Formats: sequence, C-alpha cells, structure tokens
Amino acid sequence: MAQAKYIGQKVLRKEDPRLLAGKGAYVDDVHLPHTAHMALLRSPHAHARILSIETGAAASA
Amino acid sequence: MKVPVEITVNGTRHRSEVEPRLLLVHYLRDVLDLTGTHVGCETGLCGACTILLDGEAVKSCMMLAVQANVRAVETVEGLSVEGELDAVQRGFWEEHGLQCGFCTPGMLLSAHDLLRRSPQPTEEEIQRAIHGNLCRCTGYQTIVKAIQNAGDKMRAGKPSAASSSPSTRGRR
Repeated sequence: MAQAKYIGQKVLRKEDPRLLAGKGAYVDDVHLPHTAHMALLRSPHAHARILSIETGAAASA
Repeated sequence: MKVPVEITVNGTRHRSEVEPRLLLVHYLRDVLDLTGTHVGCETGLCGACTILLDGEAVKSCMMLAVQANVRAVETVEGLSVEGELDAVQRGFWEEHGLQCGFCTPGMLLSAHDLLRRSPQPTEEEIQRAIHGNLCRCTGYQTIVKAIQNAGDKMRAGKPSAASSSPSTRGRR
C-alpha cells in the first residue's frame, strides 16, 4: 500500500509563516477609518447637575 | 509637550516627536505601525510585548519610548531576512510552538535573548527564560521543544528541514 500523504506525517501549518513574522492581523491591529474612541469621565460629585460638557478638544482629536 | 527621540528599529533609524508618557510598545505599534509586537496586559505580566533593546529582552509596555532614545530596538518584524524565517521562527514552525500566535512574537524574542547567552540551553533554562511570557493556548511544551530545535539549527550554522519554506512575503 502506498504511503499516506498526510496520515502519520508531520505537517507544517500554512498560517504559521505570517504569524511568526509578526504579520498576523489581530483585532487590535486593525485600524478602520472614522473609528471613534471613548473614555468614561465620572463625576467627582455625588449629586449635581451637569450644566455643560466641553467636547471641543475630544472632537478635534 | 512633545520631545524628539531617535530610535533605531530593526536597523532603521527613526526620528519622531513623542509625548514623554508614550509607552515604547505604543510607539512601535501606533507611530511606526509595527503591529507584530502585541499588547496583552499592559502591566508587565504577559510578555506579549517583549522586544530586544540593545540585544536584551525587555517588555516594551514597561518602558517609555523616550527611554529607548538613541538605542536599538529589534521586533518580530526584524527577524526574517528577505522573507526567509530565521532559525528561531523555523523552530517554532516545525515544532508547533504556536497555536493562535498572539504570544509568539514575545516568545521568539525571549528565545533569541536566551540562545545568545546560552546556545545549548537545558529544558529548565528554557523554562526560566520564558517564565515571563504567558501562552494562553498553553502550548508550553512545544515552545520548549521549538527553542531547543532553534538552538540546534543555530549551532549547525545553517537552516535545515524547513529550507524549502515558502517566503513570508505577500502572505497575509
């Protein structure tokens, strides 16, 4: 019987060369256009009214 | 206020203006777009961000970019020469030293640091050398074998089994 091509043989994974070269594309590596980032700013006051929020610097970032 | 830095990365000198608070790993990933160096924990625990600084393995999330000023950094992107995997990369490939590959760049550079200091490391030495690199696929035994394989290749001087390896260029 002819030797099996894969069964019992060591097989090199096809996806490894790019992962080993740092060319994988993990979610954190993907930059889509117009992506917005957010950060939570918590109030230092337990009970207060928000009168206004300055968003100029964030919007222009 | 930004400050000028001059950092040699994988043999190329880069001049940039950076915030003094910028971490080295974010400099590599966001300023130079070298995303092979990964951010796993940002607290120095996981080792996914390991790079070589003047030849020594360091965690690039534990350093500021300004601390690397006028120094030489090597990242995973600098290991392959003209698209050919180096001995350590080939060792990992042949011994199945990676599954998802996220920890791999850090593992590769820790392995380089070890093999430079100790060309024929024992299993225990290897375990100690990668104790700062977490693998959540938990393939540690194959990683140890991969580093032994890489040491064998380096001592033999030339690539062996995977010399028929396809180029990594253009494969994404």
